[in-house]
Amino acid sequence: MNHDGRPPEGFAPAGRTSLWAARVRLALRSSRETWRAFAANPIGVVGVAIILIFGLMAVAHPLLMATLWDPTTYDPVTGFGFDEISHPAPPSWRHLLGTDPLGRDILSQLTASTTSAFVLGLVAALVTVGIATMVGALAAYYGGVVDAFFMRLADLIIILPTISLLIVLTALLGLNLFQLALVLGVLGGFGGTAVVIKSQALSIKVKPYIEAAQLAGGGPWHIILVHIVPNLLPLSLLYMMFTVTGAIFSEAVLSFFGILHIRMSWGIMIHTASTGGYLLGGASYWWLIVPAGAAITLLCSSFYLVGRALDEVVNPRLRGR
Amino acid sequence: MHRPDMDPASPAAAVPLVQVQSLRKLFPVGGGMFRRARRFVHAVDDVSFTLQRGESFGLVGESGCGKTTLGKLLVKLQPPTSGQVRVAKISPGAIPAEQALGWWDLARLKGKELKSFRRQVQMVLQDPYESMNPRRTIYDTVAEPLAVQHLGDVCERLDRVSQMLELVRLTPVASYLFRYPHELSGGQRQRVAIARALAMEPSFLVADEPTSMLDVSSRTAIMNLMLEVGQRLGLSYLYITHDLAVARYMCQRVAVMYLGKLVEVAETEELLRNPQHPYTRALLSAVPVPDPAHRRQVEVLRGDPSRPVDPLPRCRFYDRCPLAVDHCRDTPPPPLEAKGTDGHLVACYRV
Amino acid sequence: MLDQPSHTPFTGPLLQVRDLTLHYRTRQGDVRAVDGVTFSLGRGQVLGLVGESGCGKTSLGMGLLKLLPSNARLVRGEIIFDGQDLAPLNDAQMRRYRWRRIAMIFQAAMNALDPVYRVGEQILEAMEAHAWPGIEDGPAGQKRRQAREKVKELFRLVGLDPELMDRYPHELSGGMRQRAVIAMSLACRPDLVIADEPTTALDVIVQERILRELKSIQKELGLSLLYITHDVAVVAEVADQVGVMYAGQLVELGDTPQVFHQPMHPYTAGLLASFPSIRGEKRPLAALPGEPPSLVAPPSGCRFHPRCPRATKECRQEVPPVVGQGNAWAACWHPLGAAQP
Repeated sequence: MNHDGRPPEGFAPAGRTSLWAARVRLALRSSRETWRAFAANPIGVVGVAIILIFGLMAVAHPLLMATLWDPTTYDPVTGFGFDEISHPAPPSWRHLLGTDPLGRDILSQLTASTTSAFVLGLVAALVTVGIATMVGALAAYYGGVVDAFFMRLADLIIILPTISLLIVLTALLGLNLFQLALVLGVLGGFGGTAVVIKSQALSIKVKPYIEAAQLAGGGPWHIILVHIVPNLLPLSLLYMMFTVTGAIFSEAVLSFFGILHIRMSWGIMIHTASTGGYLLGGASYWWLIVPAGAAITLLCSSFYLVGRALDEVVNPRLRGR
Repeated sequence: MHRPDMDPASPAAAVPLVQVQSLRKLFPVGGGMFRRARRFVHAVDDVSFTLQRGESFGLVGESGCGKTTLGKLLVKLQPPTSGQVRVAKISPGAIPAEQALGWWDLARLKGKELKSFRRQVQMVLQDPYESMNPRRTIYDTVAEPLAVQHLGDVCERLDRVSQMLELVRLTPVASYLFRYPHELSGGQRQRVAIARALAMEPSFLVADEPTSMLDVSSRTAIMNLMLEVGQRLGLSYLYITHDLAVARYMCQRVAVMYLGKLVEVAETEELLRNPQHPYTRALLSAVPVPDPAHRRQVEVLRGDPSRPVDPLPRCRFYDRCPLAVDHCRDTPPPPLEAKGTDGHLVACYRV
Repeated sequence: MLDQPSHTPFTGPLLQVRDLTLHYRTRQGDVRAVDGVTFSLGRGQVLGLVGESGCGKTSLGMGLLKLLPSNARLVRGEIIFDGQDLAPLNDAQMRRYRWRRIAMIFQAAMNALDPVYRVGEQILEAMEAHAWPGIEDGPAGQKRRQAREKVKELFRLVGLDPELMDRYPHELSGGMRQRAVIAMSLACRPDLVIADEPTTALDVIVQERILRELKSIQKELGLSLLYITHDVAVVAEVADQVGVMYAGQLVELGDTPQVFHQPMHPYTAGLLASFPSIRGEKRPLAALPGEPPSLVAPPSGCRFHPRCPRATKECRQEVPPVVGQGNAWAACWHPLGAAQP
């Protein structure tokens, strides 16, 4: 920050194009600054690194299937390891993480499931945050009946036992992965996240710059979209990270009960081990449980870590000197 | 934008620009969704005055006296509980003596009419740190009124914003356009706020303590800027302040407010020379003077100002007034009446 | 009335500050908040310290009591209080001076009262924590009763009804709270009170009353008062002597009438010329150009030179000399009153 009147960068505004050029440069500068603040925190960097590793796994699966892995042996759902005498087989050079009770390659299942975990988590998070931001902004701006309606709806969703509700819904409707993501997103968006974001929106609504926008002649939509929502986005992004964690976790639980219409997921991997009775075998069949369990834990915690680090960027109060 | 045909030395013959009639604003105390509030703060209580075209009118009072609320009522940031505010419609660039095109009644303003009212009446808010969206650049902030009113295209707006920044002396303009508010000092931000308020060439500006949160040196610079710009653009303004010395520097006429009521209105120098209302006298005598040789006579007041929650129907100053008699207690609040020299209005039974 | 001050054998000025230098470590570099400040304050005197925000006046006040954040560093200098240098003392040793002998009234002190305790209770608690200063030894209950009497007396002294002792902070107005805080600061009969903008958040009528009371208490008890403010009008009202601070340095010091009527430093003159007054002829105000400099990399030579109408080459390059003598001086190459360069 400098107060001495020196031009920070050489902007020479002369029309529409330079206006956009200036905006692009500002956006780049601010994202650089945000990244620097974010990267200063080891927690966030670790989180991003883990997410990147999972990203590589997700990309690797189709590539391996097309090149090294023969689909008859390595397909995560229909493959069978004819080379092993009995299944589940422990890790070997042909099956780095062993096979499951049905003779399928664990590593292939693990990498194949990564994509679905990402799709599920990100779709749920986007839906949640999109709904919660609009609901929060509207409830805070209009107050009164609008506020009362959305907040009572949120209360209703919060007091519902989520997992049992999801079990009932999936049993009745037979949800696939994408539909599950939508349901999780809608529940989150109208539920707890909306309450948090509304309270933030309330504190923005009373800022003098909202009055200044009214004085300029701006209507409700101008104020909501130009002034309230952009100032909510950092918090929304933060909650997005936490929603990803929640969504992946819910999927794992539902898959574990075996009630989702999903080809393969980490939850299903554990479900398979469980229905074969291998969960009771203790550590002797560890490759059936540990890879999937670790993947769930690691991916969930990586998004959580990123969220924590973002929190410090978004709330400068938490930032140390 | 510059109006050479306007001679600032001769204030316009009394042509009213803003007329306020029995304006009242009550705020409920407590209460909630299902429970009606029973008690009310009388923030603005039966206030009437007229502001002439080309005039600089000061509104002076202590914190909590309702001066900011009154300012917000005049620009329709808040609806009044009762009473009327009328503002003369003036075409941009009109000379002070020119006939108004009609009147806006604030209570009836909606939609398009409200938007064109906003072009003519603007406000500078007190807090330069919070009155700008931290995520918008200086260009966006100053261009906002033009953008929401759909005035000009992008290039014209850019020109206009540059022109305004030059007017408030944020130069070189190019180095300020795409900075964020947090990169500027308080004084520079208040200049941006003034540029934003003036971008649509308003004829009436409400300035709510624009210098009270600034440092000593920027304070004086902002006051001088407002004086100069006001004169160049032929602005009329209502300058709200707690500081009589600032009001003296900025305003031709001053109204003193106490707990929601105007207690005295007069030409500034006349008010300082010849204060009539006991509250004005106490206020004046308490203002510190930057001169160690000055010895003053302090008029001591009892007690502290309270919040006017459901005040009794008597003079608001009764509890603290050194001149109070039974009549003041038993009769409704005194009206603002002409006392002595022309235009000096006082609301007191005892002077 | 309160007990008489205990006279110490030391007879020099109560407070002598020499070359006090205080830095804050930040990401951008060291902020030189206080840089080579030297002054002295006699017994029973009031010294006003004026300057714009960020000039280091608050850091100076806090620095005298060594109440500083963890990133602050006392680089050099002496703080000789009643013959004893406070600069090398550690926190435990400083505690013997804080409040008991040097009291402080903060800017936002009136909001610092704990809302869940009665006002008088908070003062008694502080006295108990300091082992009942100035109270005769005896059983705990008796000491407490005595202390209560003393607080009542203090309340009367600052113009508060002693009944208000048993009220909660939110039941008092801002002015009353500020007076309770002043009463608290006086509880140990300090020799020196440092008041940092004690009336800034208050309305003029309340401010005037508090200033008047502070001044009369100061006279009555023979206190020394260091009054820190940005408002030159307030300083004109309370101070015997005025020190003007700019960018971490004291640039002018002198008797109040002298500084106000014949300022030597162009910054002092500029500051005075930018304050409006309700008395005298209405005159145009001249704003100082520009803004105060960054204290991370202050300007070379005289720190005021970028904003000074009288600046010359030497002002830009060399640290200005001190002109004048004793307790009336300015640090300037071209002081006002001397010939224009």
